[in-house]
Amino acid sequence: MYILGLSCFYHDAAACLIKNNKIIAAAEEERFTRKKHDTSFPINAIEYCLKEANITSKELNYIAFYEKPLLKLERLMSQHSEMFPKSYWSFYKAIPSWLTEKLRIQYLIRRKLKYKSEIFFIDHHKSHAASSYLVSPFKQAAIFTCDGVGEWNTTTLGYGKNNKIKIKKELHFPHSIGLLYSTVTTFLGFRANGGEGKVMGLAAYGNSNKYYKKFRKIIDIKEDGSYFLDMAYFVYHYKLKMFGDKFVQLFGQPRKHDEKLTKKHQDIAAALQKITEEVILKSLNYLYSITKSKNLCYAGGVALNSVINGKILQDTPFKRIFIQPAASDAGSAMGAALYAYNSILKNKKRFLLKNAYLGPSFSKKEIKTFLNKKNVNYTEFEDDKELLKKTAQLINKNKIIAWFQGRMEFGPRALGNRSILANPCNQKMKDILNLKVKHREPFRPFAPVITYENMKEYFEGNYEVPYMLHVFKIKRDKIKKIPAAAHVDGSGRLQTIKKHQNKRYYDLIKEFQKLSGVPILLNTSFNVRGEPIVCNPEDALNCMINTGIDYLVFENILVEKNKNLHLISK
Amino acid sequence: MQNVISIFKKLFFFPHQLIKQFGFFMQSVVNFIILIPVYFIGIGIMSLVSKIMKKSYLNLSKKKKKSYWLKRDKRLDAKGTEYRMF
Repeated sequence: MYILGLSCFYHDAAACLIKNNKIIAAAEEERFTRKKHDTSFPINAIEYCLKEANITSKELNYIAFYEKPLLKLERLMSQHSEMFPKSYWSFYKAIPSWLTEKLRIQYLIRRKLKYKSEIFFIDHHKSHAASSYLVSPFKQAAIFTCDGVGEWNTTTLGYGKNNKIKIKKELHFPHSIGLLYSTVTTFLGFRANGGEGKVMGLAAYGNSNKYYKKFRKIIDIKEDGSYFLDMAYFVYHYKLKMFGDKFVQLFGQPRKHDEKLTKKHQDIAAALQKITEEVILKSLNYLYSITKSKNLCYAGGVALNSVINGKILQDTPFKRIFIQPAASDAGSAMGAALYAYNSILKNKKRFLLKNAYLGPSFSKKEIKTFLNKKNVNYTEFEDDKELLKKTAQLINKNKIIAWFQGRMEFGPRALGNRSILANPCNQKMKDILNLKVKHREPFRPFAPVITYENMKEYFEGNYEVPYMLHVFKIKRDKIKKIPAAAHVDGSGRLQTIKKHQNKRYYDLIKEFQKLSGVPILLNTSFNVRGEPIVCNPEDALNCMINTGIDYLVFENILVEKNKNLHLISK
Repeated sequence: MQNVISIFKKLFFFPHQLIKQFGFFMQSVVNFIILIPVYFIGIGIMSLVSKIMKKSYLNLSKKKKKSYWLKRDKRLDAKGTEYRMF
């Protein structure tokens, strides 16, 4: 039985194909269209999924869509009715896309895929819940979902047992901690739905106490984690912007995107992070009290806040936590498909997600054909060990290595198959990476990847984090050893790796350890600022040619930039 | 043949862009004209009725409560709901 899960039209459109209880493929549309956070109908991702399974859309048994469009429209109409006549411009901007695509999703799916069978519509937060619980290792678990907004819901508390998901409590729009985070993100001059991670990184520089009380004026937080936003400070429920004049009166003038970041901006980010932590941790404590489960499954855009995630097990009674790598809307495509299979169609066998490598891969032959066609000079290694040795030596010599192998990751993190790797021991490496490749804001940290068995030696966390979704403190005596991997507060958003999870990647770290004594590499996503992570060899080569990446490793092939300068002018 | 195509592409690039922009402009004008009565009559009446009936959809005014958690909306868990867009 084949089920296709889809998410689209808001942010991070994606498709996921399952065959019985197994995920065959999953990918975000942005990787194919090269538009970051692409929201359009994920036709390229669908085509890839079908190709991976070697089937046509006619062989699909079911399609599951990740939300209920009419309920969302109901919410939208309620907003406009409540805020009439102030909401005209927002109505004028939003309605055309509803008429052309969002309301016609059923028709679009059938027309574009020539599909005649059943389509399921799973509510947004249930798709999130399913995306975590149904691929987790837990038979029963408390389920927490939190994002900007789905249909009406913004935060839910639930429980999963024997493949059944029951949502017990919920908070409704406009009261949303995700939207509060996005509001402050725009106030600080970053883009909503993308800049939130930057605010999280900025928060480490600030003092949270200075603006904490001001935030408490606009959000009432109860002991059980439920909250109420004073909407006099916000306008996102009826305008195309997010914060209102009263917000500006309270926090001062907003930062323009090209304006210098000051201490004030850092303090606001820190206070926001503190408020968000308070809401999430109190909600989780309450969730535990009503479910009594030691296992936690967590999903939604807010689940990408890795600073909070790193504190959950120490500040709540939960003993085990599972967050899947595509925790935001992209992962809902996977959740919708699995919910259809396990919960609606009542199939007992579940899929256990062991890695995030669910995207396209390219054979050595395909890569070689491409490189030859492009007239690229490269060295092919017969012995993989030799290549790993050579790559480790280059990293140790402070070269920047682009690492392209196997299937592309599903979710926003590069986890060793579409990564840029560098030496964490070099204090200047963060600046070098920023200057030569990433061109990111200088306050943003780079993440370390560490072999799992060495984790306790370097970090204060003590459990496996394969998807780079948790921030832990680096042990004080180790910060000096890996200065490029440490954030300003001495923390790192790490990825742990075990040999069976990604053997070549693991072996490369071990080779680097032999040279440097450190079982850690800097790992950042293989892209430049503003672009999605590379998908195919062409994207990878373009990225290397147009940036300061020194070497590119394609499976067993090494491409040196200096030997391919002739490609730059093309 | 490819050269001919690329020459045509270059030749028609600006007219094509102009027509495209004009299309977007016309689209926004038509949307504006059509959506004004839809909004001010449709949504306006809906808003007026709900204000007369003192019905609030968004829960904007704060009430003294111990908790803001709401019970699950049962519509979403009703049997067969997954077959519907609502």
